[in-house]
Parts: sequence; structure tokens; C-alpha cells
Amino acid sequence: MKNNKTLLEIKNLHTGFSINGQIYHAVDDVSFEIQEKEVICVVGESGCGKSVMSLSIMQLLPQENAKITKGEIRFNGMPLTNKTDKEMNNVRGKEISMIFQEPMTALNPVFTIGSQIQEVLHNHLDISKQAARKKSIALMKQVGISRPEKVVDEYPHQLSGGMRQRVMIAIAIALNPKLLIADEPTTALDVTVQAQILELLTSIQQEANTAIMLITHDLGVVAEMADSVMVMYAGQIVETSTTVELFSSPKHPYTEALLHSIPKMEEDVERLHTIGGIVPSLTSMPQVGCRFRDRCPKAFADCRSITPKLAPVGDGHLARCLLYHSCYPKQHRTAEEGVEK
Amino acid sequence: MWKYCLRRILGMIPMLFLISIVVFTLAKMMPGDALSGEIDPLNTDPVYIEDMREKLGYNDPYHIQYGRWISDFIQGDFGRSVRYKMPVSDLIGEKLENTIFLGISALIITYFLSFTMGIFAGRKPYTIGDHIIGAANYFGMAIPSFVAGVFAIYFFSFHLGIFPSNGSVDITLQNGTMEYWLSKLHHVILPALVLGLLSTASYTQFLRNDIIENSRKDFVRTARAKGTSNRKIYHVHILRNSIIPLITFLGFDIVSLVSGAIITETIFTYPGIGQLFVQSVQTNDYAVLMALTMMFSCLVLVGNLVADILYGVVDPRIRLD
Ligand SMILES: Nc1ncnc2c1ncn2[C@@H]1O[C@H](COP(=O)(O)OP(=O)(O)OP(=O)(O)O)[C@@H](O)[C@H]1O
Ligand SMILES: [Mg+2]
Repeated sequence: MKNNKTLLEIKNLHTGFSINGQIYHAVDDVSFEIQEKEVICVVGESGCGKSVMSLSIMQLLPQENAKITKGEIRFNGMPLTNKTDKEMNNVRGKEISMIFQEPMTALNPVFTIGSQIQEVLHNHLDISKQAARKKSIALMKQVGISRPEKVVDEYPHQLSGGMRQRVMIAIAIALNPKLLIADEPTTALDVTVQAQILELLTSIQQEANTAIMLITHDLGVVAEMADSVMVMYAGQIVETSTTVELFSSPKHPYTEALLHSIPKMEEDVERLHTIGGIVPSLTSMPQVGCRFRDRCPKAFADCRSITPKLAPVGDGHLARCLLYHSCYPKQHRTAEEGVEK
Repeated sequence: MWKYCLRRILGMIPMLFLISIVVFTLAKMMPGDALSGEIDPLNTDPVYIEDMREKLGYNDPYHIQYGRWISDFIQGDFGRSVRYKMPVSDLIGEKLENTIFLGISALIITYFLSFTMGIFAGRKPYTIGDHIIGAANYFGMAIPSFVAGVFAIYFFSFHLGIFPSNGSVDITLQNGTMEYWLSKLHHVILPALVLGLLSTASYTQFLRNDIIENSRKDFVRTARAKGTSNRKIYHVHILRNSIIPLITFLGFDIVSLVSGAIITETIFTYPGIGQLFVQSVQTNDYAVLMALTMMFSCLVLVGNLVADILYGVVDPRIRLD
């Protein structure tokens, strides 16, 4: 999927929450690109800022306490960060759409399924009621909902979680967006349904050439679907590369630990590998040094005093770890000679 | 749905039966009877009074009196008012029209004010506008309606002279003419305002809080992700959810309107059933008193049924069966 046009470009994105009058960054200096038609996966533990990052792109952050404090988001070259809410409404649902983690509560309980799909059509197209109804039924068929003529007049509580997530997907793809953000779309569903939903996403990506940013905990899903991967930790990107590269030669100890924690069938598993400790909370984030150091098996003295930067560690492969020379900030380059990998 | 209504209505019968016993007992326990209120004991032969008591059945055992009353009642014969010298049903019918007019006007005022203020405050919580609305509401809640009524009469009727202070219509006007209806409207505004403001505060605050709560729900985020305008999100997505709990209020509303009407109608000498009720207590007009009490009880039960049915209509998750 190389040599494509850049669809989404994010530069130095900082998103902060104001907690007790102070701003804490849940997304701290994140930069990356998504190419057209690409499937990019974002992985990382709970609480490392994946949802906040995707909501920042959509500008759907909770208005009362969250804010993009710095950085730039460009979609097809057009900056999104300085758009008003009204202007963003022309982008949301049409150019970029989003599927959420929790299908059970994502739909409005008092409106029919049909009307909720038709709403996105009416928002962006000049379309008659009958035409919108027809189109909504066709969309439901496309996402694999059986008896769509009946479901169109049903209410969310009459549908299972998997069905509701299909409805959400129908809404998301209704206008052939260029980018689909799926924030853990299968976490709340059972395993067989998970596989079906992912299959559906893959087929959409292949048929409609939609770029997908898929947020997931599941590295198995990454291996199967992603062109490239971004590993996030504590609000930052700690490693990013193509999928093949990441799985064959992970560079960051956190990535290694994540890969290690996948249970393998063929191995004689004595114990399931887990990463000890937890992600530091927003208010207890270390100001200096590596944010993963307290949980890192390979940590050494520099990890406390020097903050690593995200730097190339291979071909199209970036990491944020002092095990690699390039990750030392400029003022510490003199010390670099002494540190061998 | 019809089955559900029928079942609910049948379920009311034992309730009404119990209520009728309570009403009857209370009426009998009150001192005096219709005769002691209407006949001057100094000018009338006590034998005649005793004869009348016997003739009216006031000396029969209570259960026989009750049986007679309830069987007449079920057949629609509520007895005669000793004060107005006319059948109770005609009397109530005449006054009920005024009270219904007052009640509906008050409801419209309540709904109009609380929706306007509640939506505004809910959309922009913790702003100056919200604080002003909140303060005004708590102030309104703290004032008893009789104080508000007296104040309204003093200010609007005596001081400014723009609204009449009593009656339901200008009696010199011909029934059915345009002027007649306008006069009715003119007379109802002040009492309806006092009665309507009674529940406005609680409605407004409830709606405001529910709108704020709903605006944090996931489905709002979904709607925004679809590119739905903020206006539509509040007026369609959130409001449609927030009116559901308000529907249950409607059942209580009917009750509070009736009890509020008793006070308001008395203050404004507005000839409705509230005023009639107070008079019937003062004059020992038991036939009227019992009929009205039964009617109020029925209203409470019917109000709750209406609320439950409406609940099923507005909330698709609730099925009435
Ligand atoms: N509304 C909020 N107010 C304050 N802090 C928040 C809010 N939402 C998220 N956070 C904080 O932001 C950080 C990142 O949260 P985020 O939801 O993005 O995590 P995530 O990576 O999506 O996790 P998960 O896998 O559980 O979805 C967390 O530390 C969380 O506590
Ligand atoms: Mg999340």
C-alpha cells in the first residue's frame, strides 16, 4: 500500500483534559499519516489515549473538559483543527466516519433503526424520504442484516449487539467516506460475531477503497488486517512500522511485551505472559524520561533522566526507546557514543 | 393496548369501592347533616325535622344508607344539593366546564414556560442564563400559591386594573358570542398563571437536568459523528428522550391541578369545582362533597392510567400488554 496519496496528516497533536484547573495531556505530541486506502491499526493498553486521539480527529471530544491544545490535523490537505463545529458537520459522516466501542448505547433508543440510518443521508444529501428509506434498506443488506425491510422499522432494543454494530457500520459507510475510524468495534461482542464484523470491515475496505484506522487490543486482528501499525503508550506513539516488519522485528520493549502476551497454540504455555504494572494515569505521568521505564525489563539509568524521542530505527520504522542511538535528543548526542545497543 | 386499558380499568373497581367506603364514612363522621345546616332550629318544629330525617333515610343503619348511596351513584344519580336545590350532576357539570378550562390553560402555561426555560438552561448549563432561570425557579417554588394569588390580584387587578379579580366571565355578555369567549379567556388568565406557575419550577429544573444528562450519552456522540447539527441534536435526539420521564408527571399533574384549583379558585372566586368543593364543606352539602371526592379519586386513577399509556406511546422500549 505504498506510494499512495496522503489522506490524513497529523502533526504534533496534543489533546488535554482539564482536571482540577490544570491541563493534562491524554494525547501528547502524536504525529502520523494515513495513506489513501490504507488499513492502519492502533494498539496499546487501556487508557493510553487511543479513543481520545480518534475523537480529536473527529473533533468529538467532550466539550466541557477536553481540548486540542496544540498541533495540526489535515485531511486531504485541508486543516480540520480550525474548523467550526458547523463546518466539521460537513466532514463528519461524509468524509470521515466513526464506529464506537459500545454498540449497545451508541444508537438512540427512541428512534427506529431506519430513521437513524436515514439521518446521515439527509444530513449530507438532498434526498427524498422514500429514496432515503430505500437506500437505508440497501445499506442494511450490504452490512449483512437479514430481513432489512423489517428491521428498518424496529428499535435498537430489539436488536443484538452484533446487529447494532452492523447498523453503526451501515451509518458509517452510507456516504462512502474516505476514512473510517473504528474504535474497538468488536470489544463488546462475542468471538464469533467479532470475526464477522472484522470480515465486513475488510470487505468494505476492499470494495469501496476506504482507508480504515482500526483501534484494537487484539494483535491477532492486527496481523490479519493491518498494512501498518502504530503502538501507543501513555498518550504517545512508541513504535510504528509496517505490520510485517513490526511482527518480525519489534524494536520497543513495550511492543515486544505486547507480542509476547499473545497466547500461542503451539507453545507449551506454562504461564500467560502479562506486562507487570499499569499505564501511569494522566496526573501521575513522569515528566522526564521514558514513560514505560517502570515496567520495562530492559530499563537502564538513562531511562530516568533522558526523554527519548520518536526516531527512525529501520526502514520506515520508528521507535521511542533509548536502546537506539537515534532516539537520544540532540543535546545528549555526546553521551550517545557510550551507549551501545 | 385495548386489552391493557380494559385490565387497568377493571383493576380500578376494587380501589374505587374502597375509596367509596372511606368517603362515605368520613362524610358520616362529620358533625351535622344537611338539615342542621339549612334549617333554622329555632323557627322550625323539631318533630318536623325528625320527620324529614326519617323520610330522607338519615336514621337508617349506615350500611343501608351506604348501599342506597352507592347504587344510586353507580346509576349516575349523585343526589341533590341541598344548598343549590338542584341535582348534583347538573351542578358539577356546570362548574366542571370552568375548571377544565382553567386546568388546561394552566397546563399550557406550565408546559410553555418550562419547555422554553428548561431547554435553554439545559443547552447552556452553568451560564448566566441558566443561573438566572434556576434562581427564578427556586424563588417561584418558595412562594405559596395563595400568596402569589393575592399578590397577583393586588397588582394586576387593583393596581394596574388589566385583569378581573373574580368570576369566570362577564355575565352581561351573551353566551356563545365572540366577546363571551374573550371575556372567559380574560378572566382565566390570572388564576391560570398562578396555578400554572405552581409546577413550572419543578418541570423546568427536571427538564434541564435530564437534558444535561442525556447530552452526555453515547447516542449524542453518534449523532454528532453523523454530522447532525447541534440544534437538531438538542431538539430531536435529546428532547425526545427527555420528555419520556416528564410524561409520568402528567399523572401527578392532574392531581396537583385539582388540589391547586381548590385554593386558586377560592382566592379568585372563580366558579369551578374547587370553589364548589370548599362551599360544600362549609355548608354540609354532603351529596356534593361525596360526589366531588369520588370524582377526584377517579381523576387520580385515570390520570395515572393516562400517564402509563402515554409512556408506552412515547417510549418504544415499553410495551403495554
Ligand atoms: N472525559 C474524560 N475526562 C478526563 N479524563 C479522561 C476522559 N476521557 C479519557 N480520559 C483519560 O484519558 C486517557 C486516555 O483515555 P482513552 O479513553 O483515550 O484510552 P483508550 O486508549 O481508548 O483506552 P481503552 O482501550 O480502554 O478504550 C486516560 O488516562 C483517561 O483516564
Ligand atoms: Mg477507548
